[in-house]
Amino acid sequence: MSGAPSTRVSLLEVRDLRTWFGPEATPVRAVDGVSFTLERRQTVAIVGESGCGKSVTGLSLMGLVPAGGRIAGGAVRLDGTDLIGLDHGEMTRIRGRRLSMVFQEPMTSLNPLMTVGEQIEEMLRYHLSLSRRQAVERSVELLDAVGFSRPKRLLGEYPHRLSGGMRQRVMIAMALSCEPELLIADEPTTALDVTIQAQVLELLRRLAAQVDTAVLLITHDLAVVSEVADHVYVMYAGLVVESAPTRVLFSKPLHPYTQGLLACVTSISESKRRLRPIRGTVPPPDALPPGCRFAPRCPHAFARCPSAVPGLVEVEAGHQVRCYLHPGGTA
Amino acid sequence: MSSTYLARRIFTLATTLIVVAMATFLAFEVIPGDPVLTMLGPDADPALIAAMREELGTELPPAARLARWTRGVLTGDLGTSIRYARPVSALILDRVAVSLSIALLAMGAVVVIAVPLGIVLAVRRSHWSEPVISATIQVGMAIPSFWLGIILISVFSLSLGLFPTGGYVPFEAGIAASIRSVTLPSIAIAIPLIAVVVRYTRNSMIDQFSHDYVRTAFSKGFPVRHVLYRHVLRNASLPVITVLGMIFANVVVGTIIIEQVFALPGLGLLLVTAVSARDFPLIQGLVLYITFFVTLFNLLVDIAYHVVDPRVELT
Ligand SMILES: Nc1ncnc2c1ncn2[C@@H]1O[C@H](COP(=O)(O)OP(=O)(O)O)[C@@H](O)[C@H]1O
Ligand SMILES: [Mg+2]
Repeated sequence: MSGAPSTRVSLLEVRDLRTWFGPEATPVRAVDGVSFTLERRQTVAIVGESGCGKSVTGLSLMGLVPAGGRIAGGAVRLDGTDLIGLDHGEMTRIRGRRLSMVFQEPMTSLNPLMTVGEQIEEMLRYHLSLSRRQAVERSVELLDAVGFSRPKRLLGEYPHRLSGGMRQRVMIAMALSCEPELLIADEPTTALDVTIQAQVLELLRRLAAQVDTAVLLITHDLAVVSEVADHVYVMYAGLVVESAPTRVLFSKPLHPYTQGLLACVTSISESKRRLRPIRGTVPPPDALPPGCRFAPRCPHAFARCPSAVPGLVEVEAGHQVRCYLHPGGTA
Repeated sequence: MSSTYLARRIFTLATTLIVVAMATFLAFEVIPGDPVLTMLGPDADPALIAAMREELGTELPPAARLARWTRGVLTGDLGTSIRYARPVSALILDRVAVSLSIALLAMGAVVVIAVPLGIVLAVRRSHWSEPVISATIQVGMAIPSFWLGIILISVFSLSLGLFPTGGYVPFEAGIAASIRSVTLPSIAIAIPLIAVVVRYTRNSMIDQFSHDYVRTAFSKGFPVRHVLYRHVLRNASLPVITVLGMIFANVVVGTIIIEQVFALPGLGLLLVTAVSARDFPLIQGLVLYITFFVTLFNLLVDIAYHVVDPRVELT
């Protein structure tokens, strides 16, 4: 494309996304105004501890908010089209073809009564109108690509005979089968054995790159991010608290929460004795503290922190932080 | 499915039959009543009574009688009815078609009506319909078949004249007429069971909606119909298959009662007569027969379950 950067539409632009659960009057704000951008073929990570609202964010993009939840506001623009305004049929045509997802729970995400082959083939036949034979051939190729040594035999297997890692690789093959523009990978390796986590992640990255698919990688593990992501959004209690290009985030983390997450990572690689997890836990969205949501756990908290939620401030190009320690920019 | 599985199931079936036969035998040892006195009356000639007892072997000790009967069964001889003075197997064969057609028609009605209805009620859920549906199901489950039978007769036979009030038309006399003669009794048995199966099917479907694989199916870009019929339905059918197996026993019990209401000469009517006459060989034969059908049906259900669910290994 030769157009100026300002006129180019990003692949995905999420603006002020709010996904709330429970009653209208006293909503539980699981995602409370999240914004981020993803360019074509980019890998962007959303990082945060368990309970920060990462999965709900991913499911909101897919239009698959769990029962009891609703998108209360914001925009999710895929190639300029706002997905939130789409009706059920229009959203259905986007899922699988342009936007797909690998879930956090490999053990339960496949249909237990359908063979691996049936589950991949139905996708190819439905979206790409392949014949039965073509679908089988393509499935074998896909399973081969995700590292199965005997893909033909695997077609007839039921999920219960496969390990978590194998199931997740089947999910990846399925999610990439129609070469979508964007893959949302929600903690794709969290439920897996540590020994194969890196392998599955590498596979995902390589295959996505092959078919020009951008990846939104959701994880609680910063270590995973450094190898893979171009840009990182750090999420805390339903909000983005810091956003930066990966290298910048690792070399110059500004938010105390990011620093805390990084301390866990580096200490693991250096020495076990220096492992310093952040004290306390993420507040549930129905019991948020006043002001900065991280303040009660923050080693640098001061008088101003509980007053109001700090704004997200751009401290340098592409690096934003939501913290009163960095009041620069336009708060 | 392996041959060891089949062998094991046949062994179970045989064991069940033996246990049931023993239990029936013991029950009639304990409860009072004498078949000869019941038949001839208390004022009959003592010599006649003695002669008859001699002939039937009712004077033998219980163990000897059981041994005699068991030997007979093993050689394919269910003995002779005291009341009817005819071979038990002949009596049963005469009447089995009646009961079987009622039972199969009722079972068929349950499957054909309840399963689709349960699916529809699961898919089209709304706040206002919820209490109406569950109340209707509660009432349906609570209605006794014999009462339903009487209502059906008064409406469809007496008022509208669409069906006979009772009696059985054998197959040989015309299939349509034969089916017509067992339609109302089958419906009377089926309605409470339809209520049960509707509830099971509906709950099973609704339960499946919340499973992760359903979310996956939607994420793959399939419309609701595809997700429902290709993914949810198969999973939801497992508990329904199980409950259909359990319900067959209710259908069989239902036929025994409904045959009285419609004066149908089936196994149920025969069983009631046999019990009141203390006709031990006939009772034993009937109980064996009925147990055999119920156990066989459960075996078929097990196999069906396995066909749907690959996780269950039949070994
Ligand atoms: N199905 C649900 N019903 C009600 N609340 C939910 C549901 N799913 C998530 N939430 C709320 O959203 C919060 C964030 O959840 P989630 O996005 O799964 O966190 P993460 O993926 O970051 O671990 C949870 O703490 C919970 O309060
Ligand atoms: Mg999650």
